[in-house]
Amino acid sequence: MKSKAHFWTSRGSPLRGNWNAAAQRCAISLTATIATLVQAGQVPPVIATKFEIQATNFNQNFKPQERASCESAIGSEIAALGTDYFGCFRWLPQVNDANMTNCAGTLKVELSQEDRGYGYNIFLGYTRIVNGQSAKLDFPAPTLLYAASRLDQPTQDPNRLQADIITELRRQFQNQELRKHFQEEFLSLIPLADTIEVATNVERVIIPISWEALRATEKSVLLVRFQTQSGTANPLPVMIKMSPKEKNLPGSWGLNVGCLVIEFDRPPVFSRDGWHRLIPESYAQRVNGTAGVYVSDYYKDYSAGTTGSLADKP
Amino acid sequence: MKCSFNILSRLALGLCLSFHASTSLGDALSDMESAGRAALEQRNFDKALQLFEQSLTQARKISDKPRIANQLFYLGLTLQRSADPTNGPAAEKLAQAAKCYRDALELRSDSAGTLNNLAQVYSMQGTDDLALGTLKLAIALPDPRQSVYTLNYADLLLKTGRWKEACRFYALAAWAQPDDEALHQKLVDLCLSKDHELLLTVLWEMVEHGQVLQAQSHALQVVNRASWNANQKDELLALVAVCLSKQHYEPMSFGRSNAAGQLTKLSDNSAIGPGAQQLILLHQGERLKPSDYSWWSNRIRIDRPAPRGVWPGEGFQQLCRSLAERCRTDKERRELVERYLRLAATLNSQAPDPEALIQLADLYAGTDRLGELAEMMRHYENAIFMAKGELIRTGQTKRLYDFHTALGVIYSHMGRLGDSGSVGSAVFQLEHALNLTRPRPGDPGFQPVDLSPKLVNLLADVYWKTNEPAKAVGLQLESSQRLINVQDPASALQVLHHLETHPAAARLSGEQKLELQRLKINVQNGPAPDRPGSGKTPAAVRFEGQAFSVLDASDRRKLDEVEVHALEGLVKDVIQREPSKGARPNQYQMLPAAAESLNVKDVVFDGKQGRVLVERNAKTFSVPFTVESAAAQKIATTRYVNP
Repeated sequence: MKSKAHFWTSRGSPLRGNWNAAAQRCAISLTATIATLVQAGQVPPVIATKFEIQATNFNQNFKPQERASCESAIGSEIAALGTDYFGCFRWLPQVNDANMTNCAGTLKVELSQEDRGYGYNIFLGYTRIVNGQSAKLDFPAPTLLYAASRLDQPTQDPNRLQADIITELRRQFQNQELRKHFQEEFLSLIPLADTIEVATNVERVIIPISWEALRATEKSVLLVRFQTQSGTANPLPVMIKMSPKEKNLPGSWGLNVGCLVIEFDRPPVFSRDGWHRLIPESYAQRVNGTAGVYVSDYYKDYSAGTTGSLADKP
Repeated sequence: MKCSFNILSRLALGLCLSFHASTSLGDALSDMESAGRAALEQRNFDKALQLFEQSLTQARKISDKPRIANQLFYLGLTLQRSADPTNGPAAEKLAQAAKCYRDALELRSDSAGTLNNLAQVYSMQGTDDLALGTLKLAIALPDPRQSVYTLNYADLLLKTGRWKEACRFYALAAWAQPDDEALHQKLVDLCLSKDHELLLTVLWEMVEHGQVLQAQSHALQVVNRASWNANQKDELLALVAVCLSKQHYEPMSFGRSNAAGQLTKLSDNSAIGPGAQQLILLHQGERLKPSDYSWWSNRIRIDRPAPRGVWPGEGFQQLCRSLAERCRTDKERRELVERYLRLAATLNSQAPDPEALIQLADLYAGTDRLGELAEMMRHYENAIFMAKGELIRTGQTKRLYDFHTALGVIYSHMGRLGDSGSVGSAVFQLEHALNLTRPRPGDPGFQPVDLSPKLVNLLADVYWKTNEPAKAVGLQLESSQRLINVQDPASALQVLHHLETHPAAARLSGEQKLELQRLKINVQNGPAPDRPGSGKTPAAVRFEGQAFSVLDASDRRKLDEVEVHALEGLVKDVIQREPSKGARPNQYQMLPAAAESLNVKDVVFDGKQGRVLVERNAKTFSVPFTVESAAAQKIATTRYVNP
């Protein structure tokens, strides 16, 4: 037990403020009473990516194989960009409709057209599919890739179309403002996990995903949403806003991330004072036994494989 | 705990019972390493040392070199972490750690993690130059933690007082870690404390790397500081305009944004207040005449390029075009597209906006309003030619290229295809644009513009229309080869595909067809460029108007061939940039280390063609490159032969 207490208090920066005190108070009891309510180290959900050529001039002029190859390459590029910028999800290109039945959401990029009488404006736009519901994203708004007046629309050149779209996608993902909108309009709707553990004794919410998989810094903001019902009263919506804090929790929590509560909202209670005494009770009385963990603001953690300035592995 | 118990049990079995049949030696060593790492994580250094030493002994018994190197690394790491002055004799532990790392590197010289940690030991021992040299080697190696090593390098430079150089490396790390706002803030604070003008460079770089919200926020935060002079304040507001131009919000919602609030607060500032107010006015879309935006129209120069980024007026033109683009998809506000474009084009009669002119020409041609296009040209042609003349006189290649291209597009819409001798024709203008993409060996100060496949294809189409098929084909084949030479296979493929699918392509000669096939095969070998934001340090970043190169080791992670491409890019980069004025001695200081890590054996020149000989796995690869000028060749030879 002595060594465990030492471990708890010697981790440096993650253990700050109340956490230090709470940890010292509770370390001994924790290790003895940890319940394995949360399955350790779950993998993040899959987001499928897909590119579809809908514009007829391109569709009709490309050979089926050329079209398939172009769509596949761009679908893979979207997945790679998603992984680079939003590493808290697993991004996979959608190969066929069947292989994506278990994905949490789909991001579809579409090449569409608008008839301008004298020709077609060609747009690149995003559509999200979450819970079977499809909606076009307002941001990034459909981008005019080729104006109708342009005589050099690559309607017979899949290579150029592919190069132009990949350039545009990279430009869009590189843009900080577009990433922010993209996060708000799409990724914040997809639950990272459907359960949490409320660790009352250390005043933390534990999410069943490892730090390595979450790849988020402490500046990121996660939301837990569920409905709670006390007795026969009407169900109430609950929202817990929190930031990922501890990488390596002891015992059976070892693979999970501990989160610090920033805000608690259960009408009529609204608190920005961190941990709230109603959190455990509200969660225990959740409706249908489910809760969703969502990423509200994502800041990627680039320090994987290092501690401070040192490499952890050769 | 259960897990640890299992490991220890397996260790006991492995070590004491001469490795039970069900537990291989490899498994036992892996378990021992895992247990050691767990002990290290828990700062149980004694236990970790014991486990890694045992594992090292076993690995040595079976002469497993990779495993020996790993255990030496972990031993070094344990000693280094435990070298706390409050926890025993630090110096001795650091010396032991350094020995472990060096021994590990003897067995595995390409371990970036080991080099990084060894550099940290050197730094703790006070030998900073040795630490810097070692970190350079780590940065040049393929490793996903490359940006962390770059950051360490910058920290070390700062520690040794080389803050300006440190800024460069912070910038490199920042572009690789776009979400790391603390790092960006550190860079901004460093600039403000040492040389606030340098902040302007950093902010332009931020914009270029897509961090538009951060750059805008920093610019608006610092613009009211008393230390800025009037020109610098103008530049900061220009930065804001460019940042706004790269966003996608609804123009009508701008008045409610934080940025608009901050701009409103600047209204009292006599220097930039009017500019700030005019930015808000522009978004309202009601008054869109150049005379309404005099603050911006007066701040644009045609006689010289902006010292950094763009002139305020150019930033404003960029914002006008962006707002036009945003109105394009809004049916109710589509009429604003033309008004915003016209404002950009005519903001300053001496400095028309070539991009806005192209877009206006496209708009008129697309809506069958060629009469209005002709009217526009009647009105502005003189101003465009005057501006172009000034650009020629002052040698502003890129801006001149934009004007030639704009005129080429406009004339081709108007059907004025012409020939090489007629100034008022598409052929003349596009050929002149193309000429600006070619190096000029006799003019070392000339910086060619990047060759664009769109320009090539447009000019080729004009040649076909003017019944000059030989020129069209020759241009496309030659341009494809040039694009392959500069490692741009995607663009080369676009040009080749355009040629191949042209209706007249069937009439190509046998020789031309062969050349087409040869080029297509060459295109297959081009490496894909890195995506931004992938956590990898970018290959190069412009800083203070100078090129600064770091070998992008991530390109070299898989294949020798890819490594060769990376080196080729590096060599080309240096050779092309070396003659630029004001190059500083430390500009390429990464290179020898990078070249060493790549095992460069020699650099051979043969006229304009050269090749780098690189040894990999006992094979020698020849990497071809083209020398763009005699001066560059001389310098490159001096620097590269037998590094």
